[in-house]
Amino acid sequence: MAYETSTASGMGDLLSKLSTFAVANGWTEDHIDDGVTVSTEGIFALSKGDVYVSMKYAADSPNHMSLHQALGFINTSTDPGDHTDDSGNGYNGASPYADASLDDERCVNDLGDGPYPSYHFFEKDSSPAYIHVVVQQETDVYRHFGFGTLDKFNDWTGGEYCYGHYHATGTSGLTATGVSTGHSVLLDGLNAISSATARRCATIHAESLPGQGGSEKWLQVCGLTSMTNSANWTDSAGEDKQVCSGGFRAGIVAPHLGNFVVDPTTGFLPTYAIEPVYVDATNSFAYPLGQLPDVLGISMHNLTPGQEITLGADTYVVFPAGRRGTALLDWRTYYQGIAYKKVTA
Amino acid sequence: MTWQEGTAAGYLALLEDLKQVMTNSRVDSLAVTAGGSGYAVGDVLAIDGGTTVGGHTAAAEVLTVSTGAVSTVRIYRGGAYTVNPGTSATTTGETNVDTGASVTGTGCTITTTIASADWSVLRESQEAASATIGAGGTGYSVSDKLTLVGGLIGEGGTATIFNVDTVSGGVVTAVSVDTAGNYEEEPTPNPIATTGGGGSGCTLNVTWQDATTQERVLILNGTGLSGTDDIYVGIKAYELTVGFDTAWNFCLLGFTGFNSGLTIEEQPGISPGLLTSVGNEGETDDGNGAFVPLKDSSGDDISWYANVNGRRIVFSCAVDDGVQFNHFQGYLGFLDQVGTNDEYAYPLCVASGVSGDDALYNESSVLLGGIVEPIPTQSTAIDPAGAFLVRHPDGSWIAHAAALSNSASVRTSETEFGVFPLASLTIPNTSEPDAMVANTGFGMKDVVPTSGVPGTASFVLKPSPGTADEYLRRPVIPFRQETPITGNDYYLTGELGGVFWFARGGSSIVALDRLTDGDDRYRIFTNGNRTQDWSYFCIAED
Repeated sequence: MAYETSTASGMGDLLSKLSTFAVANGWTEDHIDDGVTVSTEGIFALSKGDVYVSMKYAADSPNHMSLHQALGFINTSTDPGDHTDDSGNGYNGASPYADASLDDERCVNDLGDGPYPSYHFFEKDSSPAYIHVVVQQETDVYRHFGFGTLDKFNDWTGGEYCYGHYHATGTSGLTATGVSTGHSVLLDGLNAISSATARRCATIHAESLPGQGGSEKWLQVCGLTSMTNSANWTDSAGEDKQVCSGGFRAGIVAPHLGNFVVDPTTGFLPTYAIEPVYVDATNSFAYPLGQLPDVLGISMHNLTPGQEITLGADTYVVFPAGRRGTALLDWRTYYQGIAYKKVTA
Repeated sequence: MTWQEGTAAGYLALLEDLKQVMTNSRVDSLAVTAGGSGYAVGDVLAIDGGTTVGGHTAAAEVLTVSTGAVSTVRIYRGGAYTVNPGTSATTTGETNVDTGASVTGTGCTITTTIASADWSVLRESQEAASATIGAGGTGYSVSDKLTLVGGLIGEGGTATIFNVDTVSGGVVTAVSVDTAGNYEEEPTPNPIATTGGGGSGCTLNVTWQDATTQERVLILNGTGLSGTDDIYVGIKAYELTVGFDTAWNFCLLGFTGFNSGLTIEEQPGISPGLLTSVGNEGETDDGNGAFVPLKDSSGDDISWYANVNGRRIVFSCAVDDGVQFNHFQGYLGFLDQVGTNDEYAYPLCVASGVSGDDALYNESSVLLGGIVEPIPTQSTAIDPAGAFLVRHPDGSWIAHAAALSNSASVRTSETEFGVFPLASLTIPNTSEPDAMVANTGFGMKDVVPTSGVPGTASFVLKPSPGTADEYLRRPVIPFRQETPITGNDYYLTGELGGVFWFARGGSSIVALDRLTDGDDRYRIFTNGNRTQDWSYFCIAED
């Protein structure tokens, strides 16, 4: 397990450092191209076990960073999105990439090209392995993306996940709260996707779940309880993706315990686990799948970005989902926060 | 911690059983010394030997076997002992806990150690069993009635009266019990003075026994897990006429201390439930408290199950109402509180599922709750209402509930003081700066109905998929708001130790089945007379 924090001069530098960090901790660097020396597209691909992810951006004017998840890696001549059993989320259209196209697919939107005041890599290389990334995009603004394998409940097939970070922009970005359905943060069961934006979601690899088609391999994490927007609900092989909800801003626990503020009597600050739930809408069944490993929901009301807290024997670092506070500024997410387990040994 | 279970012929026998398993040593480790032959995983083996109290023998559950020989075991029941069974104790096969088949293996011996009791009796109702003459006095006649002087008589109790059986020249030479009496604290020491009859000066050396009448008080002191706590809890067993029926119930109580000179109603920091006399049906404060509906000794026994440690006891009782088994619970002792002992001192919880003292175990027309789904029987106009009572750090008692029996909007009317997960909160105001989540996404509201009695859920929460069913267990958490109430700011008070909610998910699971998670076992119960998928929960058998 490892943790690293530093600064990055831009998107290419960030992903280069991420790739170096990942390799140093046992991940495989499948593809690295900063878009300058080889092409006009920045492409980075990493894998470990059954986790295969690619990141891609327009190298000439980096802004959105596309994220792709597959079940294998073919070769460096294969575009992200075209690798084995790709989930279908993440822009895989005309090359070179155009920012406007990436925006409707899984990405970290409007990440820009830095310089980033800080980044934080949280990694675990034993099962369930993961890399979770926090990027301080600008002063007081934090973005999140990550990939790995769920800490699964039971032994169902799959569990590999990948999430980007979509923050509603424009007017709605200014006025939205942390619980806006326009955002997609971590594994997010509140993101009310439309047909056009269905591919913004996080994905989870899952096979042979009850109610899942025999050839289907993916779940789409969103704020719906049925696959009402059929367009863009297929993977690269044309197979349907079923619905997964719960997660960071919804689920069996979080919506029912209030605002998670500090107890004025005891000083206790609660956290909650991030648990996706597979929804078999046809049969009206719901199945808890597991937990996002070593990540917790937490209120930032009494905490500052980057602050370390101790939970039992573990140290966590807390960040706002976007920008902490209520001021009418871009990226605001009020006091919604995310705590990442920090392990350095 | 110790799992205990047994059967009791009625509510008074149940009280005695709970006392015995809480206040005596229990087996705290087992090791196989000889594996024997012919055993199967899941076989339950009673431990022979030692000196038991009340017949509460410990038992081992076979976890692994090697060609029929027992390899490893776990504690199935802790039992109640004054003398350890010890080295290479023989065993007696009972039944297989998984299949219900009789155990056919033989020859397994087990070495045990026992741990000291976590609880001690501070008070137990007593009645006179017999008496000898201390001083015969003068001027008495046969058939005179002598009433003992002194003692502490509580609500529903009476003084002991002896009948003068023989006299010699006005001097009493023999007496017998006329009215056994019922004392919270019996008169002491012997010889005890008497009044009544035609003479004077008669004193008696009285032999006492646990009260056998319908009113019985038990006050216990727990020492916590480290042996340094002082936890005070009590149970009052009572009989109450309810229309043409009779309730034989427990009232569960908590205190902040103990004063031997005071009745149970007068003990310091007492929890709601005996604010007026038990049984004054129809009084405005009926419905206050934590009550456990039970039955008398007629008909089938009560099957009971308990997890006991130094901080608390949580128990569940299966009572046959003629149609189905209803399951009623009690929790007495500390919560696993949020915060340190300094931040939240004395986190006492007194919980059941029923708040009315007149609740009947065989009630079919109203919803009877359990500790995971406590349901007050009265309206919210009564404050506090019960049946899940937690002592706030400021010393006040707060009543929590998961649902209201008399409200069409079952789970949303009592949200200020609820019990997660079945008191389902809604987060209506997403513009609050502290809002972390929203209720518009998939959540508990989709798998547990928020209205209707009992209501219909939109989705069935199934076990996590895999080779074998794995049920998601969730802690049971009382939560509260603080005055002044701020938006949706709820505060988590703590967790019920050893208790977990889960959803049956349309499976064939029934109450008293078990969930298995590695070497851990969980016994399944329902809340009161509820049978809905979401009304199930489990208690750790550890």
